[in-house]
Amino acid sequence: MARFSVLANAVYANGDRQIASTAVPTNLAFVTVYVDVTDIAVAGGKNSGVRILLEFSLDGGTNWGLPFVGELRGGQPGGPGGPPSPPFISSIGIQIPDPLNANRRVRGTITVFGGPFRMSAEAEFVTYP
Amino acid sequence: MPPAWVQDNTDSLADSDTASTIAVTFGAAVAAGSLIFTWAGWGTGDVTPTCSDSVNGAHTAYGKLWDAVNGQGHCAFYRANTGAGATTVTVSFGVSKQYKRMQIAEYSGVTTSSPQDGNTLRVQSGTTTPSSGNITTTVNGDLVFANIQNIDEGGSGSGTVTAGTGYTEREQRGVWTGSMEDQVQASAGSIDGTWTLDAAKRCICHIMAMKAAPPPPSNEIPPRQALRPRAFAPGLAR
Repeated sequence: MARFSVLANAVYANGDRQIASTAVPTNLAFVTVYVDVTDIAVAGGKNSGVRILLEFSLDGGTNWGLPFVGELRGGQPGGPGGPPSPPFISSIGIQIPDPLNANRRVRGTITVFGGPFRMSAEAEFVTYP
Repeated sequence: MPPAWVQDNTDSLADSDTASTIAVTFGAAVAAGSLIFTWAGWGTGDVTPTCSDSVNGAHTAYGKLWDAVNGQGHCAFYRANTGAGATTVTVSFGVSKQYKRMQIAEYSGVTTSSPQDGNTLRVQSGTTTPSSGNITTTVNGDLVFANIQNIDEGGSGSGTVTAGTGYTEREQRGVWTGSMEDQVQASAGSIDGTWTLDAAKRCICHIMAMKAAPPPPSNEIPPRQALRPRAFAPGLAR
Protein backbone atom coordinates (compact mmCIF):
# COMPACT_ATOMS: atom_id res chain seq x y z
CA MET A 1 0.00 0.00 0.00
CA ALA A 2 1.34 3.41 -0.92
CA ARG A 3 2.27 5.97 1.69
CA PHE A 4 -0.43 8.47 2.53
CA SER A 5 -0.19 11.90 4.14
CA VAL A 6 -1.11 12.34 7.79
CA LEU A 7 0.33 15.84 8.24
CA ALA A 8 0.84 18.21 5.31
CA ASN A 9 4.17 19.92 4.81
CA ALA A 10 3.89 23.10 6.89
CA VAL A 11 5.38 24.96 9.83
CA TYR A 12 3.95 23.56 13.07
CA ALA A 13 3.95 25.16 16.51
CA ASN A 14 4.17 23.08 19.68
CA GLY A 15 1.13 20.97 20.48
CA ASP A 16 -0.95 17.99 19.40
CA ARG A 17 -2.27 17.05 15.96
CA GLN A 18 -4.60 14.10 15.60
CA ILE A 19 -4.13 11.19 13.21
CA ALA A 20 -7.70 10.32 12.31
CA SER A 21 -8.97 6.79 12.84
CA THR A 22 -8.00 4.83 9.74
CA ALA A 23 -8.94 1.30 8.64
CA VAL A 24 -6.07 -1.15 8.41
CA PRO A 25 -6.38 -3.23 5.22
CA THR A 26 -6.53 -6.97 5.79
CA ASN A 27 -3.31 -8.90 5.28
CA LEU A 28 -1.24 -5.81 6.09
CA ALA A 29 0.40 -6.08 9.47
CA PHE A 30 2.98 -3.33 9.98
CA VAL A 31 2.47 0.41 10.12
CA THR A 32 5.25 2.96 9.75
CA VAL A 33 4.97 6.71 10.26
CA TYR A 34 7.61 8.69 8.37
CA VAL A 35 8.45 12.22 9.50
CA ASP A 36 10.53 14.70 7.53
CA VAL A 37 12.77 16.27 10.18
CA THR A 38 15.11 18.05 7.75
CA ASP A 39 14.26 21.47 9.21
CA ILE A 40 15.55 20.44 12.66
CA ALA A 41 18.48 18.32 11.43
CA VAL A 42 20.88 21.10 12.42
CA ALA A 43 23.15 21.93 15.35
CA GLY A 44 20.88 22.87 18.22
CA GLY A 45 17.99 20.88 16.78
CA LYS A 46 18.31 18.09 19.34
CA ASN A 47 15.75 19.73 21.59
CA SER A 48 13.13 19.72 18.86
CA GLY A 49 11.11 16.78 17.63
CA VAL A 50 7.83 14.92 17.42
CA ARG A 51 6.22 12.37 19.70
CA ILE A 52 3.88 9.93 17.96
CA LEU A 53 1.24 7.96 19.83
CA LEU A 54 -0.47 5.12 17.96
CA GLU A 55 -3.42 3.10 19.29
CA PHE A 56 -5.13 0.16 17.70
CA SER A 57 -8.66 -1.24 17.61
CA LEU A 58 -9.58 -4.78 16.62
CA ASP A 59 -13.35 -4.18 16.68
CA GLY A 60 -14.00 -1.32 14.31
CA GLY A 61 -13.16 1.44 16.77
CA THR A 62 -15.23 0.50 19.81
CA ASN A 63 -12.25 -0.41 21.98
CA TRP A 64 -8.72 0.92 21.67
CA GLY A 65 -5.50 -0.46 23.12
CA LEU A 66 -1.89 -1.54 22.49
CA PRO A 67 -0.61 2.03 22.82
CA PHE A 68 2.78 2.62 21.26
CA VAL A 69 4.79 5.82 21.56
CA GLY A 70 7.79 6.74 19.44
CA GLU A 71 9.74 9.98 19.67
CA LEU A 72 12.00 11.43 16.98
CA ARG A 73 14.44 14.31 17.35
CA GLY A 74 16.51 16.66 15.29
CA GLY A 75 20.17 17.47 15.88
CA GLN A 76 23.51 17.81 14.17
CA PRO A 77 23.70 15.13 11.44
CA GLY A 78 26.44 12.60 12.11
CA GLY A 79 26.83 8.92 12.80
CA PRO A 80 29.05 6.13 11.55
CA GLY A 81 30.34 6.49 8.03
CA GLY A 82 29.84 10.26 8.08
CA PRO A 83 26.76 12.44 8.09
CA PRO A 84 23.86 11.19 5.94
CA SER A 85 22.47 13.37 3.20
CA PRO A 86 19.18 15.26 3.29
CA PRO A 87 16.24 14.93 3.21
CA PHE A 88 16.17 13.52 6.73
CA ILE A 89 13.16 11.19 6.92
CA SER A 90 12.99 9.50 10.32
CA SER A 91 10.38 6.87 11.13
CA ILE A 92 8.74 4.78 13.80
CA GLY A 93 6.76 1.59 13.21
CA ILE A 94 5.14 -1.39 14.86
CA GLN A 95 3.48 -4.68 13.99
CA ILE A 96 -0.34 -4.78 14.02
CA PRO A 97 -1.85 -8.06 15.28
CA ASP A 98 -4.60 -10.15 13.71
CA PRO A 99 -3.91 -9.52 9.98
CA LEU A 100 -7.08 -11.30 8.74
CA ASN A 101 -9.35 -9.14 10.92
CA ALA A 102 -11.28 -6.69 8.71
CA ASN A 103 -12.22 -4.53 11.72
CA ARG A 104 -8.77 -3.23 12.62
CA ARG A 105 -8.23 0.51 12.88
CA VAL A 106 -5.37 2.78 13.93
CA ARG A 107 -5.48 6.32 15.27
CA GLY A 108 -2.91 8.55 16.86
CA THR A 109 -1.54 11.86 18.00
CA ILE A 110 1.54 13.69 16.79
CA THR A 111 2.95 16.08 19.38
CA VAL A 112 5.41 18.74 18.27
CA PHE A 113 7.94 19.96 20.84
CA GLY A 114 10.73 22.51 20.50
CA GLY A 115 8.83 24.16 17.67
CA PRO A 116 7.91 25.87 15.55
CA PHE A 117 9.53 24.05 12.64
CA ARG A 118 8.61 22.79 9.20
CA MET A 119 7.75 19.12 8.91
CA SER A 120 5.45 16.62 7.25
CA ALA A 121 4.34 13.09 8.10
CA GLU A 122 3.22 10.12 6.05
CA ALA A 123 2.07 6.62 7.01
CA GLU A 124 2.29 3.26 5.29
CA PHE A 125 0.84 -0.21 5.90
CA VAL A 126 2.81 -3.20 4.61
CA THR A 127 2.64 -6.98 4.77
CA TYR A 128 4.60 -8.47 7.66
CA PRO A 129 6.75 -10.41 8.09
CA MET B 1 7.02 -17.74 40.11
CA PRO B 2 7.53 -14.07 39.14
CA PRO B 3 9.29 -13.22 35.89
CA ALA B 4 13.03 -13.85 36.00
CA TRP B 5 16.05 -13.44 33.76
CA VAL B 6 17.43 -16.75 32.48
CA GLN B 7 20.23 -15.93 30.02
CA ASP B 8 21.35 -13.46 27.34
CA ASN B 9 23.85 -13.03 24.57
CA THR B 10 25.06 -10.42 22.09
CA ASP B 11 26.70 -9.88 18.73
CA SER B 12 28.21 -6.82 17.10
CA LEU B 13 29.44 -7.42 13.59
CA ALA B 14 32.23 -5.40 12.06
CA ASP B 15 30.92 -2.05 10.83
CA SER B 16 32.00 -2.99 7.32
CA ASP B 17 30.05 -6.28 7.26
CA THR B 18 27.46 -6.05 4.50
CA ALA B 19 25.32 -9.13 5.17
CA SER B 20 21.54 -8.68 5.20
CA THR B 21 21.14 -10.57 8.49
CA ILE B 22 22.61 -10.81 11.97
CA ALA B 23 22.16 -13.80 14.28
CA VAL B 24 22.88 -14.76 17.89
CA THR B 25 22.66 -18.19 19.54
CA PHE B 26 21.82 -18.63 23.22
CA GLY B 27 24.58 -20.31 25.22
CA ALA B 28 22.15 -22.85 26.67
CA ALA B 29 18.95 -24.39 25.41
CA VAL B 30 15.89 -22.18 25.81
CA ALA B 31 13.21 -23.64 28.08
CA ALA B 32 9.63 -24.32 27.06
CA GLY B 33 7.26 -21.47 27.91
CA SER B 34 9.92 -18.74 28.10
CA LEU B 35 9.88 -15.31 26.52
CA ILE B 36 12.66 -14.12 24.24
CA PHE B 37 13.46 -10.42 23.80
CA THR B 38 15.58 -9.31 20.86
CA TRP B 39 16.79 -5.91 19.78
CA ALA B 40 18.97 -5.04 16.82
CA GLY B 41 20.52 -1.97 15.29
CA TRP B 42 21.69 -1.16 11.79
CA GLY B 43 22.85 1.65 9.51
CA THR B 44 22.82 2.65 5.85
CA GLY B 45 19.11 3.24 5.24
CA ASP B 46 15.62 2.72 6.65
CA VAL B 47 14.03 -0.75 6.32
CA THR B 48 11.44 -2.85 8.18
CA PRO B 49 13.42 -5.72 9.76
CA THR B 50 11.95 -9.10 10.66
CA CYS B 51 13.00 -11.60 13.32
CA SER B 52 12.71 -15.36 13.71
CA ASP B 53 14.42 -18.17 15.55
CA SER B 54 15.41 -21.73 14.80
CA VAL B 55 12.80 -23.28 17.11
CA ASN B 56 9.78 -21.00 17.17
CA GLY B 57 9.69 -19.23 13.82
CA ALA B 58 8.58 -15.60 13.59
CA HIS B 59 8.81 -13.11 16.45
CA THR B 60 6.48 -10.15 17.04
CA ALA B 61 7.90 -6.72 16.20
CA TYR B 62 7.22 -4.36 19.08
CA GLY B 63 8.88 -1.27 17.76
CA LYS B 64 11.13 0.15 15.09
CA LEU B 65 12.77 3.55 14.90
CA TRP B 66 14.91 5.00 12.13
CA ASP B 67 16.94 8.07 13.12
CA ALA B 68 17.72 9.79 9.85
CA VAL B 69 19.84 12.43 11.61
CA ASN B 70 22.49 9.86 12.62
CA GLY B 71 21.62 7.30 9.95
CA GLN B 72 20.92 4.38 12.29
CA GLY B 73 17.93 2.24 13.12
CA HIS B 74 16.61 0.26 16.05
CA CYS B 75 14.16 -2.62 16.06
CA ALA B 76 12.89 -4.89 18.83
CA PHE B 77 10.98 -8.15 18.97
CA TYR B 78 9.58 -10.70 21.38
CA ARG B 79 8.48 -14.31 21.21
CA ALA B 80 6.28 -15.60 24.01
CA ASN B 81 5.66 -19.22 24.99
CA THR B 82 8.81 -20.59 23.40
CA GLY B 83 9.43 -24.18 22.52
CA ALA B 84 12.41 -25.86 24.16
CA GLY B 85 15.75 -26.32 22.48
CA ALA B 86 18.99 -24.82 21.24
CA THR B 87 17.89 -21.49 19.76
CA THR B 88 19.48 -19.15 17.25
CA VAL B 89 17.71 -15.84 16.74
CA THR B 90 18.10 -14.09 13.38
CA VAL B 91 17.16 -10.54 12.43
CA SER B 92 16.75 -9.96 8.70
CA PHE B 93 16.99 -6.55 7.06
CA GLY B 94 16.00 -7.68 3.58
CA VAL B 95 18.94 -5.95 1.94
CA SER B 96 22.63 -5.49 2.67
CA LYS B 97 23.24 -3.43 5.81
CA GLN B 98 26.28 -2.23 7.77
CA TYR B 99 26.72 -1.34 11.47
CA LYS B 100 24.67 -4.30 12.68
CA ARG B 101 24.29 -5.01 16.41
CA MET B 102 22.01 -7.42 18.25
CA GLN B 103 21.23 -8.64 21.77
CA ILE B 104 18.88 -11.35 23.01
CA ALA B 105 17.54 -12.33 26.41
CA GLU B 106 15.42 -15.16 27.77
CA TYR B 107 12.97 -14.72 30.66
CA SER B 108 10.77 -17.14 32.54
CA GLY B 109 7.53 -16.41 34.33
CA VAL B 110 5.88 -14.25 31.64
CA THR B 111 2.33 -14.95 30.51
CA THR B 112 2.23 -16.93 27.29
CA SER B 113 -0.60 -15.07 25.53
CA SER B 114 -1.03 -11.32 24.83
CA PRO B 115 1.73 -10.32 27.27
CA GLN B 116 2.19 -6.63 26.30
CA ASP B 117 1.46 -4.00 28.95
CA GLY B 118 3.22 -0.85 27.72
CA ASN B 119 5.67 0.14 25.00
CA THR B 120 7.56 3.32 24.13
CA LEU B 121 10.85 4.27 22.50
CA ARG B 122 12.64 7.46 21.62
CA VAL B 123 15.81 9.20 20.50
CA GLN B 124 17.82 10.91 23.22
CA SER B 125 20.61 13.36 22.51
CA GLY B 126 23.02 15.48 24.48
CA THR B 127 22.45 13.96 27.92
CA THR B 128 24.35 11.60 30.21
CA THR B 129 21.06 10.42 31.74
CA PRO B 130 18.95 9.24 28.81
CA SER B 131 15.56 7.67 29.35
CA SER B 132 12.92 5.87 27.36
CA GLY B 133 9.92 7.94 28.37
CA ASN B 134 7.23 6.62 30.68
CA ILE B 135 4.84 3.76 30.22
CA THR B 136 1.93 3.13 32.56
CA THR B 137 1.44 -0.53 33.35
CA THR B 138 -1.96 -1.93 34.26
CA VAL B 139 -1.21 -4.99 36.41
CA ASN B 140 1.14 -5.75 39.30
CA GLY B 141 4.27 -7.84 38.88
CA ASP B 142 5.14 -6.98 35.26
CA LEU B 143 8.52 -7.78 33.79
CA VAL B 144 9.86 -4.39 32.68
CA PHE B 145 12.51 -4.71 30.00
CA ALA B 146 14.44 -1.74 28.63
CA ASN B 147 17.29 -1.38 26.22
CA ILE B 148 19.55 1.40 25.02
CA GLN B 149 21.35 1.57 21.70
CA ASN B 150 24.35 3.82 21.24
CA ILE B 151 24.09 5.51 17.85
CA ASP B 152 27.06 7.80 18.50
CA GLU B 153 29.93 5.32 18.74
CA GLY B 154 32.36 7.92 17.45
CA GLY B 155 31.46 10.37 20.21
CA SER B 156 33.37 11.23 23.34
CA GLY B 157 33.70 9.13 26.50
CA SER B 158 35.12 5.69 27.19
CA GLY B 159 31.88 3.92 26.52
CA THR B 160 30.31 2.90 29.77
CA VAL B 161 26.64 2.70 30.61
CA THR B 162 25.11 2.08 34.02
CA ALA B 163 21.65 0.70 34.57
CA GLY B 164 19.04 2.94 36.15
CA THR B 165 17.90 2.72 39.76
CA GLY B 166 15.95 -0.46 40.38
CA TYR B 167 17.17 -2.16 37.21
CA THR B 168 19.64 -4.98 36.73
CA GLU B 169 21.96 -4.50 33.78
CA ARG B 170 22.37 -7.28 31.21
CA GLU B 171 24.89 -7.89 28.50
CA GLN B 172 27.17 -4.93 28.08
CA ARG B 173 30.44 -5.83 26.45
CA GLY B 174 33.50 -3.75 25.60
CA VAL B 175 32.89 -0.41 23.97
CA TRP B 176 29.20 -0.41 24.30
CA THR B 177 26.91 -0.49 21.33
CA GLY B 178 23.93 -1.22 23.52
CA SER B 179 22.76 -2.62 26.79
CA MET B 180 19.69 -4.22 28.33
CA GLU B 181 18.19 -3.87 31.80
CA ASP B 182 15.19 -5.31 33.58
CA GLN B 183 13.19 -5.31 36.78
CA VAL B 184 9.97 -6.76 38.12
CA GLN B 185 7.57 -3.91 38.91
CA ALA B 186 5.78 -4.82 42.13
CA SER B 187 2.87 -2.44 41.69
CA ALA B 188 1.33 -1.25 38.44
CA GLY B 189 1.91 2.37 37.47
CA SER B 190 4.25 4.70 35.66
CA ILE B 191 7.82 3.58 34.97
CA ASP B 192 10.72 4.80 32.84
CA GLY B 193 13.80 3.08 31.44
CA THR B 194 16.83 5.04 32.66
CA TRP B 195 20.60 4.89 32.34
CA THR B 196 23.72 6.87 33.22
CA LEU B 197 26.42 7.34 30.58
CA ASP B 198 30.03 8.42 31.02
CA ALA B 199 29.52 11.06 28.34
CA ALA B 200 26.56 12.49 26.48
CA LYS B 201 25.73 10.42 23.43
CA ARG B 202 22.92 10.22 20.92
CA CYS B 203 21.08 7.00 21.61
CA ILE B 204 17.76 5.19 21.20
CA CYS B 205 15.99 4.09 24.39
CA HIS B 206 13.14 1.58 24.51
CA ILE B 207 10.98 0.22 27.34
CA MET B 208 8.33 -2.47 27.31
CA ALA B 209 6.36 -4.23 30.03
CA MET B 210 5.20 -7.84 29.92
CA LYS B 211 2.55 -9.33 32.17
CA ALA B 212 3.62 -12.02 34.62
CA ALA B 213 2.29 -15.55 34.22
CA PRO B 214 -0.73 -16.29 36.40
CA PRO B 215 0.12 -18.26 39.53
CA PRO B 216 -0.10 -22.04 39.12
CA PRO B 217 -3.10 -23.86 40.58
CA SER B 218 -2.72 -24.15 44.31
CA ASN B 219 -1.86 -27.55 45.83
CA GLU B 220 -3.51 -26.62 49.09
CA ILE B 221 -6.34 -28.79 50.28
CA PRO B 222 -9.44 -26.62 50.38
CA PRO B 223 -10.75 -25.97 53.86
CA ARG B 224 -13.18 -28.62 54.98
CA GLN B 225 -16.76 -27.64 54.71
CA ALA B 226 -18.49 -27.30 58.00
CA LEU B 227 -20.25 -30.50 58.87
CA ARG B 228 -23.93 -30.20 58.63
CA PRO B 229 -25.82 -31.48 61.62
CA ARG B 230 -27.26 -34.84 60.78
CA ALA B 231 -30.92 -34.97 60.35
CA PHE B 232 -32.40 -37.50 62.68
CA ALA B 233 -34.55 -40.06 61.00
CA PRO B 234 -38.08 -39.85 62.20
CA GLY B 235 -38.93 -42.39 64.78
CA LEU B 236 -35.42 -42.94 65.96
CA ALA B 237 -34.58 -42.09 69.47
CA ARG B 238 -31.61 -39.92 70.06
